[in-house]
Amino acid sequence: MNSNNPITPPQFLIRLFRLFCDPRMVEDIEGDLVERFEIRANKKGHRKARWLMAKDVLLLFRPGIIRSFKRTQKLNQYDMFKNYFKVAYRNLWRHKSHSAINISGLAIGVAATLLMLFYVKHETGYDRFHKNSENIYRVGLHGKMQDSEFHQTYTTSMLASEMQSVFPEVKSAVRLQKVGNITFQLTSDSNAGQSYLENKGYFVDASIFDVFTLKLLLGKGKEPLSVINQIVLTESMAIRYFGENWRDKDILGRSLTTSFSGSPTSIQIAGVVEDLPDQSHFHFDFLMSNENIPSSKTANWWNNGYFTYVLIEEGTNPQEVEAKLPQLYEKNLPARAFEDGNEWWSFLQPLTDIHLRSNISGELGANGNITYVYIFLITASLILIMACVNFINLTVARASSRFKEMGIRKVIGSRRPQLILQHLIESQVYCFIAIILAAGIVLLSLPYFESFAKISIDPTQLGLGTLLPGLVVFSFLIGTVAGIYPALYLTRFTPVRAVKGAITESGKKNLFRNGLIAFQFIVSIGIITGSLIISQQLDYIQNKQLGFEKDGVLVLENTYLLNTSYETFKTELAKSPEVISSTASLSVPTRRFANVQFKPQDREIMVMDFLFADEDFLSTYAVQMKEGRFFSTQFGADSSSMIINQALAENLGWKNPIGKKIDLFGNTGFTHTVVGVMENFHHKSLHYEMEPLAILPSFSPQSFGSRYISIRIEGDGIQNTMEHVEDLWGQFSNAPLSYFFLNDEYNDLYQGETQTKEVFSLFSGLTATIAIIGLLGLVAHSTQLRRKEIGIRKVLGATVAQLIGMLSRNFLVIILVSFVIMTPIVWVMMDNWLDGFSYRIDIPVFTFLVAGLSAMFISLIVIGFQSLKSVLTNPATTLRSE
Amino acid sequence: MQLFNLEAVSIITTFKVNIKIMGKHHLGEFEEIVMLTVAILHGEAYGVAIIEEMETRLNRSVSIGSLQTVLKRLETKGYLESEMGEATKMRGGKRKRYFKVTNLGKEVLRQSKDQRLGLWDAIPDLA
Repeated sequence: MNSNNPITPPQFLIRLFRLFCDPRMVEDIEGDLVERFEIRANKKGHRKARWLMAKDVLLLFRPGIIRSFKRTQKLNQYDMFKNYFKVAYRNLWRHKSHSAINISGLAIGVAATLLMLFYVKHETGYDRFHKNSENIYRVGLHGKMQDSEFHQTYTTSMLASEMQSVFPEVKSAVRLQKVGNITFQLTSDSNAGQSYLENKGYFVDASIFDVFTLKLLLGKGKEPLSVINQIVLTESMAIRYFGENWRDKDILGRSLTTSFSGSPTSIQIAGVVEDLPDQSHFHFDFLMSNENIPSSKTANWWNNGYFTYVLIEEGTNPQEVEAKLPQLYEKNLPARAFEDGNEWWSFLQPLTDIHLRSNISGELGANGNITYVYIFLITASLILIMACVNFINLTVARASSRFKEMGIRKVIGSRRPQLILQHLIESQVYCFIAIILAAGIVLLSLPYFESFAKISIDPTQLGLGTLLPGLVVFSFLIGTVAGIYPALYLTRFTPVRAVKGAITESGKKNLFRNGLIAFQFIVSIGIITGSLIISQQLDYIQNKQLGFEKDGVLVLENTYLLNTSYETFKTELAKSPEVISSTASLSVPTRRFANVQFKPQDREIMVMDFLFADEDFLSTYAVQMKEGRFFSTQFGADSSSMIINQALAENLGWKNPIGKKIDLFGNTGFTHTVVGVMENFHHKSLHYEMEPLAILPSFSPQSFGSRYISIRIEGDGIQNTMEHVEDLWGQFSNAPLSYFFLNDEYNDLYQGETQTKEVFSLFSGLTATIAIIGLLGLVAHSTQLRRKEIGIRKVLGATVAQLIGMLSRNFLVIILVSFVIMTPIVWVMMDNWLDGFSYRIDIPVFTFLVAGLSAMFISLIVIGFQSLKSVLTNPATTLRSE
Repeated sequence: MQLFNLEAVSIITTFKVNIKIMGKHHLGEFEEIVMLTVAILHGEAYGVAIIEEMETRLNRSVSIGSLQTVLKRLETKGYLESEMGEATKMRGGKRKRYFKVTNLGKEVLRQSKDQRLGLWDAIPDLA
């Protein structure tokens, strides 16, 4: 410190004192401190005075002097709050179009998010209605034999009882087996004699009531399921059979007749249970006891046709149980099952994971897919972020018109936190209105969304008690997130600058806002491109040459019911002019093909798909032969011939396959000779490669008969043919006819992809709407700001086109930049998705251009229309006002 | 935005205290000395002046903290009143707060003095 200067007290002590002192006393005490310091400094020297002052300051730190931690006085801010709401309301009405744009953008975003959340909640809530859902596991089977490996739900009939008796952790276990197609006939009722074809039934153990939570409405549950010829119906089946008033009809003990294991059997109704809710990974119409199937009791570890579910003790680590499972197979299967690196073991799947995370062979129904849930979640959050970004953008864009207000408020005495609060309250008000609108949109679009997402949402289950507070919290969160940046931005400036209007918007400072618009365009152009590519890939696989003709083929199911009258049926069918040809086969493309062990000549034993089919298969499915001939009745003893596909010939490395011999079941007793090679055709979805396939004549001795009859129909004769076929069927069988069209089934193979495509096209619409709404607001604002500039330019001779070009240039650059950023991201993501298909398109550059150009085009239109108004205004009007 | 009113607050508290004090007052020793010093300084009593006066007369060191606490307490009790002076170039431009003994304060001092004297008088022999 310079000695020439008067001695001044240490500033930090004064600052410290000011910090804690009660503001009412600060002035005079500070004065005392300074005065005393000066006196002491003169008397005792500078150093000593400082020390003594420090002591004084410390001693001042005492109750009565220090400020209270609460504000010194409690302000009643009620009026100020009221004013914030009033100002928010006035602003909202004053700039109606701006507010409408702002609020509708938010509402769309919030509505989309709400719907997506409903969907995700639905998808993740599967199978939780079972009381012990956390402790129920499905046991699956993994096996490896030679080259084929399988991971499936089907397990042996022995697994359930073995697990229960060997593992103490397993409280209960149940086996389910599909009944398959079965016909029931009512014996005594008003509509006696009527028969029903059922295919959603299971043979189960009585322990199903211990493992799962089934609600019994009538009769007994467990006992009927442990004896033969008893049946437990679901409520919906009871309604179908006995009408809505089935409860009044005393249906317990009534009997249904069926042809069960070949002979007519009478089955008694012993109970009715409530239908399983939608959110169950499997559904059934009726249950019967496993006792009805004698093979369920034989100790056979090879027959894998049962679904096994276990209930384990609370608190047991499932991995411990899983670790012990392979031992069961080692103990019960012969040693040869494990030779040559072959494997047999089981794994556990948590019940609640099955719907979203399990997609293995032999699922009980179409499961969801966790990937799609993630896709939904990500797109929903993108939309929400876009809506918030819009809000931020539009609010900040309009900031300049409010700087004066901010300045005046500051001059009058508002502190910055209060102004920030004011803006937050304003954005809360906007959000609240948006949320109410969004709730309306959700309510209106819920039915559409349900059919779209193929789920049913029960609004009562969502619980208004959680939904309404949830919405309020949601509104609050969004209001805060969207409002915080504008609030900070608007209140940043000193009152002098704000009031003078010295804050002008320069192009360079808008980097943040331009970045936000770019983000919106990246997302929306990206989603548009993605959905275009998805639909191109779907078109590709739906129109790809499959090696057979899928259109115009009607397939009848369960045709083994025709038994011996099949030939007559077929001859009668051929008489119809629209029927081109028909064929009987064990399976049809899109359905599971059977597989069996083969021993080709000079080659190792292998497992592959095969098919029984008659000589008309070739013409009905329009498959091409490559070499040799197909089955033909001209060659009387064709029953030991065989057709292989090209993939199989290549697989075996056979140059001249005609005449080679193949033993079925690896057994020399069943030798077939290859008489022809046909072109490959896709019998599975295009997710898979072409696989080796063999066709055996359905009139060979090993034929299990035909399960399907496929009929190729001439062009537009479907209606006539259907009637004819149904007629004919009625003459030969009293079971109801069940049929499908091949191309429908084929399209169903891509259900997941189709759904993604639909979701994406919906989202691309939504995001584009939000982005354009945002653009609209920004353009409106920027032209408003440049009104005078436009006027002057016009006076000086600028044309309308030049002006519009000037106004849109900035936005076009932004779109271009976002296009450049978006392209590689979307490219990589879509390439990844396409890799899931064995047959995929190359990503077309064209698609990117289409998406980019259309975004640019639409933006140009929006900008053009918006700026046209101000460009066409007479310059005198804009320049007059000052 | 500061809406408080100091005067109103002190009037209300004075009023309350008055009612309480009338019957039974008690002054602490330090309080009494401070009040007496304020009375001595007569119109010139502000923080440092009071301290200086006490230090010279009583040879006893007083910290600003303890003095201000007592001053505040006496003011809320209504024995003292204060007003801000004019700002000068001294003391870093800060104003002084001048204290004055109120009528109630004078009454209390007098009572206190009478009690002491009564006690002195009651001593039979001051040997």
